[in-house]
Amino acid sequence: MAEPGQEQQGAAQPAAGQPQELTEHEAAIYDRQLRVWGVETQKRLSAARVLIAGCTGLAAEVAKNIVLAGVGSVTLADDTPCSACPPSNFLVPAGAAANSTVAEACVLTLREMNPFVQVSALPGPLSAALTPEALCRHDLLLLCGQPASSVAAADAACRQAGVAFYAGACRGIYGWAFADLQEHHYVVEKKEEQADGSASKSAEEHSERFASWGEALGCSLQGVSLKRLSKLYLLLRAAARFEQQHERFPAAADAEQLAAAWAAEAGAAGIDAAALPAEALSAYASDGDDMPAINAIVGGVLANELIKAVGRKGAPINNFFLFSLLEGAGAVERMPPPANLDSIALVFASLAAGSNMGKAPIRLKEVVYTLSPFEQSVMSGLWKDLPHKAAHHAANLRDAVLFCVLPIVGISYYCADFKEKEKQHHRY
Amino acid sequence: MGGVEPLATAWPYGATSSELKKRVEEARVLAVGAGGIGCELLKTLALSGFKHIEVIDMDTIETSNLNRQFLFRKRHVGHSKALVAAEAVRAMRPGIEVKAYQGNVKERQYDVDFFRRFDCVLNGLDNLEARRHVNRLCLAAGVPLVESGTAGYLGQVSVHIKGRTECFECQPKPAPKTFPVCTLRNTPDKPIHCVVWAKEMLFPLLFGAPEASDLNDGAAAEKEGEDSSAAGTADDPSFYKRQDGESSRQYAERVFRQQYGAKIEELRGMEDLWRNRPAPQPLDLDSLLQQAQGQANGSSASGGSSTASGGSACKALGLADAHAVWTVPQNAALFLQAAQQFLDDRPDEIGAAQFDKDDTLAVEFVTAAANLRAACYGIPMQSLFDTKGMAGNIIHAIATTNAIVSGLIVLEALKLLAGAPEACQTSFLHQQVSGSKRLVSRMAAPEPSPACMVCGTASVQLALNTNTWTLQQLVDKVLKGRLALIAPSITCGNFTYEEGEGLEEDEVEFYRGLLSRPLSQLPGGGLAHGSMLEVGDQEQHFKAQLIISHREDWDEEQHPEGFELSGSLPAAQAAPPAAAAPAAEAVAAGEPAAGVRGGSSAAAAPAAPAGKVALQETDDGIVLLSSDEEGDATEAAVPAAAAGKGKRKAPEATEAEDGEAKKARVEAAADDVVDLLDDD
Ligand SMILES: [Zn+2]
Repeated sequence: MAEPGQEQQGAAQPAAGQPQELTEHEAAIYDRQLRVWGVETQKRLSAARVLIAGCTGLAAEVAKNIVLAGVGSVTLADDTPCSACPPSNFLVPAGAAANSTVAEACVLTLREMNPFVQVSALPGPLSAALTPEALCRHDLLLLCGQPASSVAAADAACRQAGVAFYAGACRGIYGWAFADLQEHHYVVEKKEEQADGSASKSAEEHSERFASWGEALGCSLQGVSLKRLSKLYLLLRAAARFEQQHERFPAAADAEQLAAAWAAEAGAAGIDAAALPAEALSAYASDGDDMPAINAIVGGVLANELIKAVGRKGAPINNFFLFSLLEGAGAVERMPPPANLDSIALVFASLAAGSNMGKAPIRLKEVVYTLSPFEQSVMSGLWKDLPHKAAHHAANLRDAVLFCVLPIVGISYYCADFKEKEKQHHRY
Repeated sequence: MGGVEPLATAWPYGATSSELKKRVEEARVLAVGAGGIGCELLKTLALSGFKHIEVIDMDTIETSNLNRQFLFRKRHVGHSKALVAAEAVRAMRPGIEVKAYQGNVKERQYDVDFFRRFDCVLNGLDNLEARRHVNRLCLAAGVPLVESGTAGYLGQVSVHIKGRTECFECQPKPAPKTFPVCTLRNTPDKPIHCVVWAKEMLFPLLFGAPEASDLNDGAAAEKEGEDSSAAGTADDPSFYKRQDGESSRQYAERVFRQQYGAKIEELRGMEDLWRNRPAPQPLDLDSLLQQAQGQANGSSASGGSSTASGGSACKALGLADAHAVWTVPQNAALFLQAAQQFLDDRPDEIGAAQFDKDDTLAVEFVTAAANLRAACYGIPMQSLFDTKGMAGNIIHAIATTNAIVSGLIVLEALKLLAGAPEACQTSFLHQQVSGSKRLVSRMAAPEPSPACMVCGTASVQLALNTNTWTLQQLVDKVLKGRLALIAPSITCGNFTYEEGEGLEEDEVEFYRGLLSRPLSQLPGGGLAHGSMLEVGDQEQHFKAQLIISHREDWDEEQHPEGFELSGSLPAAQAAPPAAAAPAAEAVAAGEPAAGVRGGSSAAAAPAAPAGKVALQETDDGIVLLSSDEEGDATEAAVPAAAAGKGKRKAPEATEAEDGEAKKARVEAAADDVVDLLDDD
């Protein structure tokens, strides 16, 4: 195993955070993907530092994908001994030393896979990845295969540290991914073909706000069409209730408790409990392993999203990807859903647009972060529909907005979301 | 597979049952292809508990595979994909039996009996012909087939069960894009025309066997019949022979002056051509070289030695950025440098060289040659990176899409083993979600089309000129080229033609003698308008009826190949009910496929439900049933325009898509790329 290590040291490593030109060898290896996402994304990717906590089969898929893609560095955290390795983690070879950790074994395989990528294991338990010291050395945390209680804690830590957060898990016939990029700026590139066969590119700047894990699973479902909502989302709400309380996934023996959690969740949200069949619940509360096929699907989607997030190019999934064999399909849900337009939101949308125009944005973060998920999603949802003109004038609006609108929003937020917040506080 | 008992716990809840686990352990599966999809598929199969896996691939590993074919390492470059992949899977999960075949799935030993041994066949292929071949063998063997394809972020998986769901060929596949020769030779108006010209016409003239090039060949043949405007520009191969005592530099300059000077002047003289378009402008080599000297500005490498550059003319000239569009003088310098290096460093290849997208010098030469031509015609020039994509028909490929598709394939295989064929579906992976909120969407597997030439009983109409078409052309262009037969046989009344093994020597001789005859002059009265041909392929267990219709006037723009195939579908074929509803879902949801866009598929099968059209095309005009594998010239690179579509823009196309590369599709390339698992 010395060979990959040496190779890795020999390879020029980009200084963290500073995209560098691709070498000839990198260009040869990455040729096919450069044709998909371009040189700029590749350079950003090669400067990105990703931390993955929890070396499940899903984590192995994501790690493989982003290491092949040429991410700058990947740090793995999981001190499970190889003897207890999840069977779906294919990065741990069958002959791995039983006393080494899963993370250490994965590191060796990943280094071999792409010597350009710095791969290392974070010593200590998984929770070491959630400390500010660990987070501040990375651009993004991916938490895999952990119950809702851990996801909530990790998300909170990432918000504190200003680090992008992803989570995912696969259980039985289900797999999900969650994203909280807090405030994410990105460009959408459009390529138009001209009559002469040449292509002209234009880039539009966008920004989007993400809800926290607590907000995403604790939001009101009023006005949400249950018919169009993925059942797995409802299931996650029930599971979150159970996992928050027990700080672990429900096992087969917990099926009844999970059903009770669902009954409580459905009651609190004002939905008919029949929306989720009992079998669907017990398929989640199982001792069974994950399905490698679903790991591959969710892991592929997650890796695409990670690459989009660090490349700051392309609209990210905001905020759930939910794959379930019940539906045989993979849905993207935004929770809480973008609410209806109102006048306050409109002004706010201009504000969001203004802060996104490349000029130094006013620091509204503190204020904005305390907004309810409703306003947050309204803002970004609306911003898309706004005519360019409005965005253009937004800069002039700033002062007016700061002094006139914030109080109104504050009040609106307080009234609209008091109940919701209270519930969340109670839970988390 | 129709006989597989349903599980005690029905799908999907039975997906994790021990009963299914046991069936999976006992099942035998064949993975066709160990490339982009194949590597992921083998891994996912192994992890899912499959214990008897066989894999077949004829290719060897290349550097550009390493970004996604994760079972391979740098040290494996040049080795067999099938063997290395099998070894890697065995190392990953010992105790799994993985049998690898390095070979072409179209070879005789992989016959119906070979296929019959499997519970299901899983395709991760990179070309249309091999897919059709495997489809036919699976039908003959009665083994279900899970088919897949990827392109960039897009992916698709479908299930084909004989008698239950449609076969791979139930829906017509768009014909490959072709360019009229006279456009390439005289009136290019797109970058791709220049690239194709440089790769297919100029490169063989200088370095290859010009007579082997279809285009140059055709030029000579057309010379007699055609009007002078087109004929005047055909190249005389003797001009491109190096003269005694001529240095490589002198030769390169002479070719330059001929191609971009004299011939452009000559073309300008054909005034008919320039009534509705601007006439091309010749390039003056001397002034370009002066400018190049100025731009190089002390760069000692200019015109420098080729030995130090390691086979790259760009390096010798200091042209480092493959993504930049170089100036005309730079391209002129590159043209000369690349030609010179080719002649000096690789003398053994001259006269037999073939363009290869991984041949640095060849790509550099084609880039320069294409850009110079573009400069003459006022067409935008391209970067080396983009030119390489166009010239090599390189398909965009990323690991994530392959991984996702491998998961979707295995899920369908599990359904088959679970005895739940009714749950089988066609899955689509999209780049963006739209109204449906689905990133991975599904459609119930459509029922077989009774009008299918392969699994049904339909006949096909073939329009061509029976007086000018030879039997050879019929066999090569239509039966092999378009119907994907390997060893075709033809019967029509008293006339018989056969190929393949098992023939006596005198039979072979006799049939060979027929090949050069025009169809109307064949024995038994000749083939004429209305002749009904029984065509077949013993090895594929394939049979179909071909009805000839004689047509004399052919528009080269519309039908560069001079023939047209059409299905004789009943006008009001009822849409398979199973497909109708999900198709509607896909359309209403504003999926990329976005409904029926009245294209070739819809035109050929008027009542095809929308979802079926969706099966074949994406916003980008790609045929989705292609795989990530590069060199997939036969199908993945078909532009919407080729299928007669108005190109639809993806409203949320976020990634820079190399549209032109996808469109790069030349008829000549189809001949280059007939082998299975072509170079991935
Ligand atoms: Zn068919």
